[in-house]
Parts: sequence; structure tokens; C-alpha cells
Amino acid sequence: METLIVQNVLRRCRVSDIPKLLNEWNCSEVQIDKSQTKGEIIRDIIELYSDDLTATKAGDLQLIYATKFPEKRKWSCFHLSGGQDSEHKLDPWKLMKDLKKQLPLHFGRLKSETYVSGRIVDGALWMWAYVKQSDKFQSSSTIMFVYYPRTPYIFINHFRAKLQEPFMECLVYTFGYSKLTNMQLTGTHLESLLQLALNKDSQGSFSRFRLKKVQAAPLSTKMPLKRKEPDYEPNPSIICENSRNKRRKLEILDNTFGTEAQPVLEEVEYKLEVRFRGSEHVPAMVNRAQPFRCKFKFEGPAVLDGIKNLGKSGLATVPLPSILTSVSSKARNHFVLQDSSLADKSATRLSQQ
Amino acid sequence: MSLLRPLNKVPHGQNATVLIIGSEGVGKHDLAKALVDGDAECPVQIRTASILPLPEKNDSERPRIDFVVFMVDLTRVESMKSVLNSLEQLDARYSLGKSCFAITKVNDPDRRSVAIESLMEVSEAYGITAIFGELETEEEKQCLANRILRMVEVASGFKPNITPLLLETVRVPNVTEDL
Amino acid sequence: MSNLQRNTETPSVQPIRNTTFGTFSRSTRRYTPFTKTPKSRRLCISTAVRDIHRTPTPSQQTVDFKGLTNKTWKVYRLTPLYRFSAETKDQKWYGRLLSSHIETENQKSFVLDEDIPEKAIFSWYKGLKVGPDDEEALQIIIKGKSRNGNGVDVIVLTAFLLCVDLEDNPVDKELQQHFTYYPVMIVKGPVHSQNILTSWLERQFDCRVNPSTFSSLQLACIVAMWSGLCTKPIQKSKQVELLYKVPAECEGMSKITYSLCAQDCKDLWDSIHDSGSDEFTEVETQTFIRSIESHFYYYSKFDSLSIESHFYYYSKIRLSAMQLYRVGTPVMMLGSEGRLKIFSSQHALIILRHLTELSVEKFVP
Repeated sequence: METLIVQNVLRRCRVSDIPKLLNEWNCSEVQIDKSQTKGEIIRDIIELYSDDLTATKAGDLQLIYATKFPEKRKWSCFHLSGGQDSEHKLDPWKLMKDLKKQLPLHFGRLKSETYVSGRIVDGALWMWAYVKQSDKFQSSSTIMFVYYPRTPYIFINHFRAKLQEPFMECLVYTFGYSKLTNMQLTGTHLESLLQLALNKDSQGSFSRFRLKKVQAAPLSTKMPLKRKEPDYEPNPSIICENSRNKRRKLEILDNTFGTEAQPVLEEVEYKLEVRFRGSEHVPAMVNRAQPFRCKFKFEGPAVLDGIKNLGKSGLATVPLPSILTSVSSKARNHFVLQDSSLADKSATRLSQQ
Repeated sequence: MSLLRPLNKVPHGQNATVLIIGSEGVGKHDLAKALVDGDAECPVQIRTASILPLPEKNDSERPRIDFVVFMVDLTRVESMKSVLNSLEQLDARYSLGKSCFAITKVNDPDRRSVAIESLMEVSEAYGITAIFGELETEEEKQCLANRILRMVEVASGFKPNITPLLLETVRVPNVTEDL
Repeated sequence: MSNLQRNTETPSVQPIRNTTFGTFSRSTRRYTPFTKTPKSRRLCISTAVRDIHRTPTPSQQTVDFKGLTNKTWKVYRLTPLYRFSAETKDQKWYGRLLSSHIETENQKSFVLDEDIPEKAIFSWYKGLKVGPDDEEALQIIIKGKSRNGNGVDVIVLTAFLLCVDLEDNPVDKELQQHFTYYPVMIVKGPVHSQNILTSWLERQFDCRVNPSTFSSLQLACIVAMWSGLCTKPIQKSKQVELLYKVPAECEGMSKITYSLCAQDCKDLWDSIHDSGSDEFTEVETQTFIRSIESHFYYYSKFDSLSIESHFYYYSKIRLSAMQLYRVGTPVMMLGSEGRLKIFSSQHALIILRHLTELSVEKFVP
């Protein structure tokens, strides 16, 4: 099983990255024969290390791969709450020791062996755990999570549902909090997820104070905004009648989103259970009491930038509705919209679920 | 709502003014550049807008519009709809050879979202010529621009003894389903 | 391109004839694509045909099309096959011919990652011949060795040549005895084997095999027609899905997926279309799509129709400016590049009938 884990990891990365990975894993120089195919290289490496390969060591390799390439994995953000300040929350080494002790205990209820491994990278605690439930290696039983000390947020990858309860209990107990809630924030770019979770109040146009380190007070109105030069050279024979409109649109967009780069999210999803609004052309649906259930999802390499560009390119009318502009300040990317109570059918509110 | 009228201002004399109307992303700026660089008898001034009516603030500085081009992108239904809305704001005298449809993205029938028949019906109903073309390569842009420029020259009066109405009377109608 | 340039270079002595009209008529014919979009489409098999088919062979009603459902097919359209004989002994002969062609292709090139094809078997697939002009559906199976090197015999590729409820055969009456027309072929298998099959068909029967592509208009029509198809109450989990591709100038976002609860969609469709008639008009399908899009627009103002305006209401995003490239309903899923998946076997006939119709429209004799 250990060899399977190692094979899995090495197959995923490029040949040029393998020496770096192995270097850190085993602290020894490994020479790669460039003329061989990837499969042969992997076989040679496994032969080399198969003598003292334990599950924990194999897990270590998987963890190193995750620390070097975190964007290959989907992370969900969880929020720890309801605890009291205690010393060990500030010390990642102590936390790692505690977790290594506690995780096997909690999973012991499922009568399965647990292997745990951990690393501290740039001050953050990265842990790997594998719960052995059958002889075959199951990647859905691999749990990996990242904890940044002094923050109440943990980023966990996706694993099978059966293991979720004992794992949550273990985390809550070890960290000294009373509750662990899913923040409905998922993505592959850890840095952006952390930014969104930590800086809820300084997104949008306020992000310039954080990112550019602007000295002026946020509420002062005398600050001049530098406008970017237009991309094309203005031709004197071509005049745009709507240029004032366009400038105003760009101004509104810059005010809502800020001029800096947005945090990177791969998807934003909305579930709607609201009244049907396309009824200008379908008169029969006007009096329909039941909500019209639908779901829409935006996907792409950088969805928040994409939303801003939708407004810029005219595909969406500006000003954009609040459900699109408030994504960065709500620290989540899965939303549920529901019509409020029967008394007021036309109003809708964003419900936290 | 003020209509766009063809004869409410004094003509410029040296320039031909063309107004291009189309929703955003349709390629107005590309077409405008190609028209300016094309081989016309007279210098051409281009104004672009996304819908009619034009904003009233610029009314005093705006010269008389000699020719109107409506741009429709066949892969976007929305461009067709906005053009239809703008057509209602156009004075009827522009249909007499002083306007045309420029229809782009014709080469790929799989990505087409607009039914060509409905477009042709509109063109027949308003009496406006439909010109199909592409804006992908320089050659195609120039081709489309030159065809439009031929009509612009007549509409701005730079061809002696020919009026746009004369051209309209000998225009070959589009091939319809009956044939 | 060359005739356009010739026209614009003619001297301006006679500007009217050569430049304005010369370019106008020739180039519009070059650019104007005249594939007509029919105003209305038939949804079901016409009742007359169904009756004829039902009485003599009642046993065929229980065909469940198991081989067709829950698999992802690639759809091709074919031109008529020349000298295709429908006799059983010729089936074996065709099988041998295709097998030898496969062997020669295998010797020419060797693809590592796919199963290796070896033998071909032709057979008839009963149950799809519905109309009087239809041909019996042909099933081609190519067997071979699996790529794992186990030496196990696997089915490498399955293909069906179909003709379901053809309204009128576009081939001329005098030529019909020489030509057999199968408008649609659906294939499941690795790319290399698919290429072998298509090249053999083209060589053997002197026809053209092209991958079918579906435009956004056709996909919108399909989703409108078939989201209301199921008569019994639909499970909550089934969804009607529309996938839109965002234009390239909007960087950062690549696609928008809009899924609707199937039951609600069906209610919407029922309120637009009167369930008595079998025909679906273009206006109705456009009403459906635009109303869904405007529901989307409200939340993320346009005089669009139903679905799009529902979307617009909530998001202020105009879906009509984007390109629809895949649709899914509780009964099937279809992509614009020709990928098809049928979920419900009782509606398989209707789906294949529609594909036949779309394929026939593109055929120009």
C-alpha cells in the first residue's frame, strides 16, 4: 500500500520536479536518468526506497507534494468558534504533537488503523492522515488539512463522509474550541481563500489600503483615483457617443471591486428558490405560488475577475446586483437565495445556510 | 424620445459621417478602423453608439449623420435584439439607402444563435440592405468596409448624379424561401 | 475571397453595376448560409405511422433499447451509401472486409493507450425501424484485445447506423435502388478505432462521414422540447441543465452552468405550450428559453423571454449574449460537438427521430 501511495504521488508530478520532491523527503541527493521514461524512473525510485518505507513515510511524501503544489487540490474552509484562548493554539509544534496523539484515538472507534504525519511550512501547520479501512489504498480516506496559527480557520480537503464526524470531533477537542462550521468557501488557491476569510471587511474598493498600503484615511474624499490609460490610441476620426457612459460604468466597477487583482476563486455557485421572474412573456406563471428552483454556477480560472469583466464588456448591466458584488465580503462561494416569508412575496434575502 | 433624422442639419461638405450601432463586443471599433483606412473618395468620420437614441448632450457638436450601419453578430442573440430596439428610433428616411445591416460571424454555422430568416424578414420589412461579412482577418475587414463605403459615398453625395433612392430602386431583393 | 477582390478592383467608371451590386449579390450568396430553420418541429412519431407499426408486430413494443441508454455516443451524419446490400450473407462479407481493413491499419500505426481492434461483426438492431421509408438499423461491433495486455477479448467499439422515422427520402426516386440512406451514425469507442471505421465506410460505400455539430439554436430548441417530455412526476434530483460558454473577451470566467429543477421546468413548458398538439413552434421554444434566461437576469432588462429573463432578473447577466454549448434534460444530454447520452429508453425513439431530422436537414443532394 505504501508503494501505491508513492507511485500515485510521483505519477502526478513532472519529471523535472521529482528530484526536488525526493530531496526534501529523504534529505539525500537523487540522480535522475533523463533518458528513461517516467514509469521506469518511478520503478527505480521505489526499488531504491522500498526497504524502510512505512505508511507514515509515504504519507510524508504526499504531504510534501501538497505543500509544494497546493493548487492541485480542492480545499474547503472551516471556522472554529466558541473556545477560550489557550496557549497551545499559538504553538504549531505542540498542536502537531497533540494531533498525532489524538487522531488515532478518535478513529480507533472505527476499528481502523490511522497513520498521521505533519509538517510546519512557513509557520503554517500541514497535517496528513490516512485511515486504513481496507487493504486497498483508497484516496478518499486521505485527510489533509492546513492550519494557520492565530486564525480560527482550517482548510481541509475533501474526504469520505463516514470519516467526517470523528475527524471534526477530534479537531474541536484538540484545538480547544466548541464548534466547527463549514464556511461554504471552497477553492484551490489557498492564499486567496485565506485572504477572503481573514479580510472580510477590506475587500472591494477598500482593498487598496491593504494591498497598496495607502496612507490616507479611508473616509477622506479628497483622494484622487488614477485612471488607467485606454488600451488603444484614440483615433480623431472615430468618436464614441457613449464614452461618458462607459467611463461611468468603469468608475462604478472600480468602486465596487477595487482596482487591484481580485482573490482567485474557481467557482461561485448560487441556489435559488425564488419566485419566477420571467413572466412577462408567460402570463400563466405570474400567479404561481411555488418557488422556481434553479441553480447557477460560474466557473473559470478566476471567477471574481470574470464577474468584473462581465460588467466591463457589457454582458451584464452595471451596477451589478449585490449577490455578485458581495462575494468577496461574505467569505463564501456557495450561496442560497430564498424568498422571505409569504407575507412579502416580492422581497428576497440572502440566507446563511 | 427624439428620432435620428437625416435632414435636420446642414451637411458637412468635406466629410462623410457614419454612425455604427451595435451592442458591446460586436466589433464596432474594428469596423470603424477599417472604414477610416478604406479607400473612400472622401474622408470618413465615424461615430459609434450602442443604442439609439443618442445622448442629447452631444447633439450640438454632432454633425449630420449621412449613413447608419447596424452591426449584428450572429453568435449573439442580444446584438440582434438591441439593433431591433434601436431601429424603432430611426427616422424612416434612413431606410432609403442611407443605412445597412453589417452581419458578422457568418463563417461558423455551428455557433450561430440568431435565425437568419428572422433577420432577413426584418431587413425586408424595413427595406434596409443586409451585408454579410467577417471581421477576423485584415482582408475580410477591408472587404466589408469597402462594400459599406460604396454605399456611404453615394449617401453622402460624393458621387455626382446618383442618389441613394436611385440605388434602392434597382436593388436586387434577397433570395427568400419562395425561390 | 478571390472573386470579392476582383469586384472591388474594377474601375469606377460604372460604379453601380460592378461594385455595388456585383459585390452585393455574389458575396452575399457566398456568405449567406441558407440552412433553413423550420418554424415548427414535430415532437412525437406521427400517430398514423405508430398505428401501422403497432398492429402486425406487437412483440416489438417491449424493446427497451438497453444497448443505447446510459452510454456516451459521438454522433456522425452520413451521406447515402452506394451499393449497400441488406442481405444477411453480405453482412458476414462486410464483417470480413472491415476486419481485414482493421488489420492493415494496425500494421500501419500502433496506438499505445487504446484497446487494439481486431474483428468486426455486423448485425441488425431491431426496434428502430419505424417509418415506411426507414432502413433497418445496423449494428457494428468491433472486438479486440484490451490494452492492459491481459489478452482478454473486449468490445472495442460499438456503432449504430440509424434511420428513424424519415419523413421523405431526399434521395431521388430513380437512384433509391442504388443508394441506401442512413442519416445518423452513433459511435462509442476510442478515437483511433472510430477513424478506422469511418475511413472504411467512406472507401467501401463511397459516402462522406462527418461529425455532427449542433448550433446553439438547435440546442435551445431541444432543451425546450424535451424538458417537458416526461408525463409522470419527475424526481427531485433530475435537472435541466444549460451550459453557456462565456466569450473570450471576458477573462477569468470560462462557463456558466444554469440548472433548473426538472419539475418546475415542465410546469413552465406546460404553461407555454398547449399539451394537445404535437407540434412545437419556434416562438414557443424561444419563449421558453428567453423566460428562463430573464429569470437569471433579474438576479445577476431586456425584453427577453422566460428562462433567460428569470436569470437576468436575479443576476443582471445577459445569457443571450453567450453561446449555449451543452444541454441536459432528464431524458438525454447533448453537446454542440456531437456528444450524446440518452438516459431514458422509452424516449430513445423520439430523440433519435429528432437527430435523424436534423441530419436530413443538413443533407444537400
